[in-house]
Amino acid sequence: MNQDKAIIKALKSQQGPFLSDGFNSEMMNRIHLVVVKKKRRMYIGTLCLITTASLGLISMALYLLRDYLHESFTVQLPSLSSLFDSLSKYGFGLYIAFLAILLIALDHYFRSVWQKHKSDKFRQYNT
Amino acid sequence: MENPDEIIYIKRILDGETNLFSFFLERYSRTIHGLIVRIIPSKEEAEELTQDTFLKAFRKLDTFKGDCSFSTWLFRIAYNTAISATRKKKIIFPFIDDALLENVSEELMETVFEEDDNEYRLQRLEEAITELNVEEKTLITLYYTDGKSIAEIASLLEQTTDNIKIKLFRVRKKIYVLMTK
Repeated sequence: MNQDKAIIKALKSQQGPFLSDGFNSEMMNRIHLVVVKKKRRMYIGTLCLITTASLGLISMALYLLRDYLHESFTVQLPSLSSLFDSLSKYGFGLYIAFLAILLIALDHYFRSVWQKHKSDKFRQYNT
Repeated sequence: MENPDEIIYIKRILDGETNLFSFFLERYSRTIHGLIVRIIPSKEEAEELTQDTFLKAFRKLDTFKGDCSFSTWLFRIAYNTAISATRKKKIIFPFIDDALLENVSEELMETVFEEDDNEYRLQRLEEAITELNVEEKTLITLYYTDGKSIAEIASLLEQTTDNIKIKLFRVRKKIYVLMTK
């Protein structure tokens, strides 16, 4: 079937119209436009998200402050003596701090393992 | 099946080096256009559809999983783009009875298709090719002009290899019938 010389010849003689000369450069310009549009869309999206979150936080703060101002404007500081009431509070605080440090260390460890795995994979592609 | 340098280029494009997409344009723009122009003979429309194909490929580059070669993936996009464009137009292709195709002898067909210096026959052959439907034109273009294997065509058109083989045999018979009618 591959030896159908007549079909190959007929198909070759039918070739054309060909692509215009500047097709590839024109295409690259369109690709750049797509990239710029995508970046702009992402920028606007991020901006909208930040604005919405900020407005939400501001309105929540205003709402809480308004309610708080109705009752009393003065802020009652906790008595300092209560901090030294019991040592168990410090123990609990230390426990939480230890957990936080442990989680950060684990996160660091897994990230470095993943990065190493990723760079090994990339090296394999290159060789 | 995969081309390692293409995989690296894709990775780098996805990482932000969009200029590297020109590598794929240089490598495939002519063949992709060659396939589209067989389906849509209008120069302007074919060029526009070639542009659409590359834009779609660029936008969907992150969805390329590497389960087939990049060229097969790109040809599939081109084929689907061209097919969608033809659906908008109503083109009527000549109908040929199956019984007529069954009666064509393989030996006779081979004799006709082997000989490539008979000008009259070549002209009839060219006319017959223009009367084929879109899928048939795509099949012979991929097989004879682009040198794609049966397996690659099957992957591209999302069909089985047996199905492609049968269709190719049928197309040859159809060309012969159209030539001799």
